[in-house]
Amino acid sequence: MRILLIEDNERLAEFIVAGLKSAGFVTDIFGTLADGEAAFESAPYHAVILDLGMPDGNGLDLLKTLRARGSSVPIMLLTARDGVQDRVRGLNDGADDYLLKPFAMEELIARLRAILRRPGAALSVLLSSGDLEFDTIGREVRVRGELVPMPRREMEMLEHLLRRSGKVVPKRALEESLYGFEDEISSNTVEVLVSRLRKRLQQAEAAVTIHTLRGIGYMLAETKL
Amino acid sequence: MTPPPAILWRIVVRLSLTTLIAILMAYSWLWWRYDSASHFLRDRALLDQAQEIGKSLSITPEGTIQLHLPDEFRSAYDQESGDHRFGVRDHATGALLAGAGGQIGEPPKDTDLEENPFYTHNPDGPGPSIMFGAAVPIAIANRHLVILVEQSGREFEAFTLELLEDFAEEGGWLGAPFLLAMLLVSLYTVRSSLAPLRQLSEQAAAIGPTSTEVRLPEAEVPREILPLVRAVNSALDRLDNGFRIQREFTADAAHELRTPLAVLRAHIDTLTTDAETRTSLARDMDAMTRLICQLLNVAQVEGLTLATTESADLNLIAVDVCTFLAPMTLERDRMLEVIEAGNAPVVHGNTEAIFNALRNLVENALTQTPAGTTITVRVLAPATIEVEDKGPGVPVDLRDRVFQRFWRAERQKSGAGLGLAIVKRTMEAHGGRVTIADAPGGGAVFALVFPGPVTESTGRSSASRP
Repeated sequence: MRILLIEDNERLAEFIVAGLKSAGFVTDIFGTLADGEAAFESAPYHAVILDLGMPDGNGLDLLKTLRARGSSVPIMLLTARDGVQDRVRGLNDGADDYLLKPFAMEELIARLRAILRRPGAALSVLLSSGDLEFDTIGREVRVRGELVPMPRREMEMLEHLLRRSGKVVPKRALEESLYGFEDEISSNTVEVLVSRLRKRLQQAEAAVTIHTLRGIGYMLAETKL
Repeated sequence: MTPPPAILWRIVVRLSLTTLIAILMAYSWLWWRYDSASHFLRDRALLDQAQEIGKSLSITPEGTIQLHLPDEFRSAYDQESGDHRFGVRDHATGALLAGAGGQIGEPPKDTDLEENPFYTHNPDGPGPSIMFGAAVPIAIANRHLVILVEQSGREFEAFTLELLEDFAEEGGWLGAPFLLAMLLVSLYTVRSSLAPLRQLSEQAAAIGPTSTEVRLPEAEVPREILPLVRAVNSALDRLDNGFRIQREFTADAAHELRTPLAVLRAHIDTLTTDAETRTSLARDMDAMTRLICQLLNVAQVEGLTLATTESADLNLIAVDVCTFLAPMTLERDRMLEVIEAGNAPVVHGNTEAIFNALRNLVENALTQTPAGTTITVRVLAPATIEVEDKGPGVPVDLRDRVFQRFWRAERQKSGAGLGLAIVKRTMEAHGGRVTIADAPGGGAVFALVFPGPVTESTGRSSASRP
């Protein structure tokens, strides 16, 4: 997969290229927004990693330009400014994710994979966590290769949790994902579904845990040994 | 040093004095006017009487003087040593030819009686009674006579005094309401013209280091005070500029520091050495990064200023912080829960700064609370966020010291001891405070107490984190 990296710090860019290469990505580096934009126009990229603080302007402007042209390529922002407002603005302007410097290479690769999996980018259709695999197109859940049948609503919920595995999914987001199935969601619909899903995964001896964080949301993570 | 007297008091005192002097002067003038008027009337009366007497004078062929006074006229002169007297003297010799009412004085000598006929006569020497008189020369049948008419001054003076007393008693009180009205009007004028100044003072008092963007309004300010307001505003401009420069510096410093850190981190992560070395280097790297971030946070919070329109929803912040920290908490085998307040408490504050403060409190709780326990973040009305852990709690004598920079509990192995200092400074910048209490059943409760919710919940800022 081909990634466009727009980053003005040459050393950082080199290391990112090396890190992504080890994860199987091919990366082109451009040191200015203008060059990056020209490259984006001339070749198909599967994702863009965009540094916000560029010598020829703010990366947010390029982000807006690309989105205004209707491009749906996943874009990850890199920034040295740790403002919540910056982050919110970046995501509002159509970024898929946001990474604060300094970051672990592992994190960058994991997040890059996560945004590549998103609908619209639908290249990879296999979500996984621990020994759990989810085929988003075939609608199949497997634990260590064994098929685990489950109702559609639970499967929908599992997909949500898997897409953000290791992160908290707010209860509200899960409720919203169920609107397509039921007109009315009672206050404990999500609790009931999560509890059923948890039991089903336990019975299948999957090495993942769905944590309930009261007042915050749910988080699916690999079970710690 | 005693404070300078209030403008109001100066005006009241000076106006009262001026009014009193004005009243006294008005009385004196009235007295003088009345006095001269009464003299004039008395003199006229004396002349009239003299003429009347002159008309009733006749001289017999023998040369004796005869008087034919009307009865009612005569009765006025009946009393011996009375208040009204008259006499007729020979002009040349001064011999008294006729008279009534008592001893009569001499006409003034060396004066032209035609021009100034008036004189005074003191029958009992220097004493209480004084007679005012008029001497009118008259010629009848070739005889030159002087008619002298006298009237006691006592009567006039008594009359004058009585009148003045009446005036003072009745009219004099007119001065009091006038003075009162003057004072009330000036009180009102001073107060109403100082009202914008008082408003300005209140607005100026609200300007702290955290709200430097506020300016004093120049509209409706009295012209005399405008230069002061302008000077204050221009001082605030310079102050604001200083803060802005500091904020920009910390933002730039963050950028300049984070990029080389990112290079270093990426370098470590792509090293081809063994995984153990990489992990260990990465851990050191993380600790250093955390310290640098905390130092940048300290600098940011020192330069923190609140825009008047900024507001922050404490419920949202609590959920956002916990969403952000939940993976790390679960990683360390602790649990995290949020209990929101019923209706969203929105405070005047900087969402990002409060997020950071709460994050530091929860991270602190994470270092204190034992594995398997839950950290509770509770939002309370009207405007408080509590963080409760199940750790050992904070001894009372340490509760002030934990907020000092670089303070670190013996047991606390991680962190530079900046987190709680950041929390404290953030709360100070918001006009609130951070408190420590014992949790029921052990552990500490740190509370971020804000001065109160904003009245209208406009301009609510969201702080959703991915």
